[in-house]
Amino acid sequence: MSPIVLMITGMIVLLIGVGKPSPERARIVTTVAWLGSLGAGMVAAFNLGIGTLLPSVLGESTLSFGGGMINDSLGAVFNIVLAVSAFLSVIMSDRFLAERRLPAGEFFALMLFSASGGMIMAQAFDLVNIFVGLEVLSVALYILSGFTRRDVRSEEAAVKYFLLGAFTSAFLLFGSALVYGAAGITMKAGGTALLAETPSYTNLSTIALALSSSNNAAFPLATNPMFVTGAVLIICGLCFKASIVPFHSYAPDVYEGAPVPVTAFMSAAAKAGAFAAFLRFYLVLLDGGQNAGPYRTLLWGLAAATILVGNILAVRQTTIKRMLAYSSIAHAGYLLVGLLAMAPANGKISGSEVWELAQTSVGYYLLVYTFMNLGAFAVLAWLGRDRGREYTQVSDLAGLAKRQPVAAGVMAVFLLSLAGIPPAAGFFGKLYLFLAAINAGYVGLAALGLLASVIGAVYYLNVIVSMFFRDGENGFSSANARGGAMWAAIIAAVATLLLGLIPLPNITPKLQQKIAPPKNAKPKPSIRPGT
Amino acid sequence: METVTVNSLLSSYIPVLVMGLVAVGVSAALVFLSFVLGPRRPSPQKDAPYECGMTPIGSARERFPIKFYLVAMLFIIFDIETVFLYPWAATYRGSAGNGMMLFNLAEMATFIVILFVGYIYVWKRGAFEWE
Repeated sequence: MSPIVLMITGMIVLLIGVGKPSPERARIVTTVAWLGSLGAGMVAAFNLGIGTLLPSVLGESTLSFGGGMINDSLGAVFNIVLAVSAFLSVIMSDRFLAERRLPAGEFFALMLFSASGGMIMAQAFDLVNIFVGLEVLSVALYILSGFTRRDVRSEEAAVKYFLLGAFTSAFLLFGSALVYGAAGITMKAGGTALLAETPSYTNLSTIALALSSSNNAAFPLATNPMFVTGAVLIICGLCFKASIVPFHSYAPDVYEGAPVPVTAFMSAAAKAGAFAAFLRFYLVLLDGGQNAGPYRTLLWGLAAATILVGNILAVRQTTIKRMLAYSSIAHAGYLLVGLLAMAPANGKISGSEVWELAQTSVGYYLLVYTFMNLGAFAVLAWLGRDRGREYTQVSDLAGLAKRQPVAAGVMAVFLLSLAGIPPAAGFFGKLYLFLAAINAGYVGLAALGLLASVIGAVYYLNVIVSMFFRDGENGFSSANARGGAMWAAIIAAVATLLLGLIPLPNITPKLQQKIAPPKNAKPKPSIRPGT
Repeated sequence: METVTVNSLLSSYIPVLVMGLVAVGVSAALVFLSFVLGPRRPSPQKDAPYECGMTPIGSARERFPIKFYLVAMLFIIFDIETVFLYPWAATYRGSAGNGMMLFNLAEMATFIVILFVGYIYVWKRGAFEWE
C-alpha cells in the first residue's frame, strides 16, 4: 500500500507544480509532498502493527500480485525508513529550491517516485519485481542528482551515477536471468511442479524451494555454476546501490555533486531499498544449507573491506559531503555485518534467536542511520548559501557554535550518533548489530567493526572540535536562516535522541540476559523456522 | 522425467555458432575475392559518396535543435501506449469468460490515467509548442 500512496501523491504533486511558478504554489506542493510521505509512513506503521515496535520478520506475512510482492513486517520496517527519508528530504528542500529557482513540482514528484521504487524493492518477492523497484528508485535518482543543471558538479554527478548505475542494473538483470534458468532446469530435472501461488522461476520462494528440495539430487542447484554466477552478479548489482566497497567509488563524487537534499535522500533511500532486497535474497541463498558457505565468506570480506575503507578514507576528507559519503560507506559495512549475522558462522542451522536478533538490529540500525545521516545533511541545507558562499569545507564549520549555536548543537548530536557515542541512538544501533554478530559467532568481524568505529570517531569528533573550540574567520554571517531544513534537522535530532531510549521487545530482554544472565537459565533448543 | 544438463543446454546452441561462423566466413571471402579479382577504373563520379542527389556541403555532424529529440521521445512514449492498448483490446473479450472483465478494465484504466497525468504535464510544460 505504501508505494501506491507515494506514487499517487507524486502524480498529484507533479500536476499541481506544473503551473506558473510562484511561492504559494511551491508551498502547496511542499505541503502535499510531505503529507503524502507521512501518509505512506503511517500506512507502513499500521502494517507493522501498533505497539510492537520493530518485531522480527517471523510475524504474519501475506503474498500478493501472484506471489510477486510480500507484505510482512520486514517490508513494513523498510517502508517506514523510506517514508521517513522522503519526509525529511522534502521538508529540508524548500529554501534550497527557492534560492535556485528550481521547479518544486518535478523535484518532489521525482523524490516520491524514487521512494516508492525503494518500497517496491522492500516488498518484492520476485527477482523481476526487485529489478523494477530498483529501476524506479534509480532512474529518478539519476535525474535528481543532476537537478541543478547549471552546476557542472551536479551534471558530473548525474552522468557518473547514470553510467555506473546502468552497468550494475545490467549485472543484476543478467544475474536474475541466470538464476531463473538454473532454477528452472533444477525444478524440471527433479520433476518438481511450480507452486500454484508463486508460478514463476524468478520467484524467491520458488528459488528457495529449488535450492532446498531433496528431489533434485541429480542436478543440485546450489553448486550449479550457472546459479552461482547469477547469484554473485545479483549481489554485485545490489552492492552498488548500497555502496559496498568494491562498488563504492562513485559514491563520494555523486554525493558531493548532487544537491544537498538529494544527497541526503539517496544516502538513506538507495541503501534501504538495496538492503531490503539483499536481505531477502541472502535468506534464499541460505536455503542452500552447507553450500551457502562461500557466500558467507564473500559477505564477510565485503563487510570487512567496506568498514575499513569507508572509515579510513573518511579521515582524510576536507569536504563535508565527501566525508559524510565515506561515512555512509562505512555504515553500509556495519549493516552488512548485521545481514551476515542472520546465519551462524559455523554453518549450522540457526536458531530463531540468532535470526530475530540480526534482522531486528538491521532494521533498527537503518532507521537510526536514516535519522542521523539525513539530519547531518539537513544541517548543511539549513546553513545553506550564505553571502553567495556555501558551506562545503570542513573548515567552513569552524566557529559555528559562536555564530549559530543551535545549528552547531544539532549537528553535534548527529555526529556523536554517527560516531556511536552513548546518549545517541547510533550507539545502540551499533551495540545491537555487534551483539547480533557475536551471537552468530562472527567475533572477529565484530572486533574489526569496533576498531574501525574508533577510527571513525576521529573524523566525527574533529568536526565537533572545529565547530566548538576553533575560531573561524571565514566570512559567514551569524544570521540564523529559518525554513524547513531547520525543522527537518530538529525532528531528526529529537528522533536520534529518543530512539536510543526506546526498548525493543525482542532485543532488550536478550541484552539483559547477556549482561546479567538469570540463574538456572538453560539454553533452549530451537530450530530455524521456514521462510 | 526429463533429464536436462548444462551441456545439453549449451550444445543446442552449436548450430547457431556454426551459422555465425559460416556467415562471417562467406562474407569475408566475398569481400576479399572482389578486392583481388575485381577490375578497378576509378573516376571522380565513382568516388563521390552519392552518385545522384545534392552535392554534400560540409559535415553531417551539425548542431540541430534539441526539440527534435523531445518530439521523438514523446512520440515513443505515446506510441508505446498504443502498442500496449492493441494486445489488451484483442484479449479483452476473452476475459469475459473468466470473470476478469472488470479487473482488466481497471488495470488498463490505471495505465491510461498514469499516462494521462504525464500527458497533461508535458502539455503544460509546453513541450508541444515548437516556438
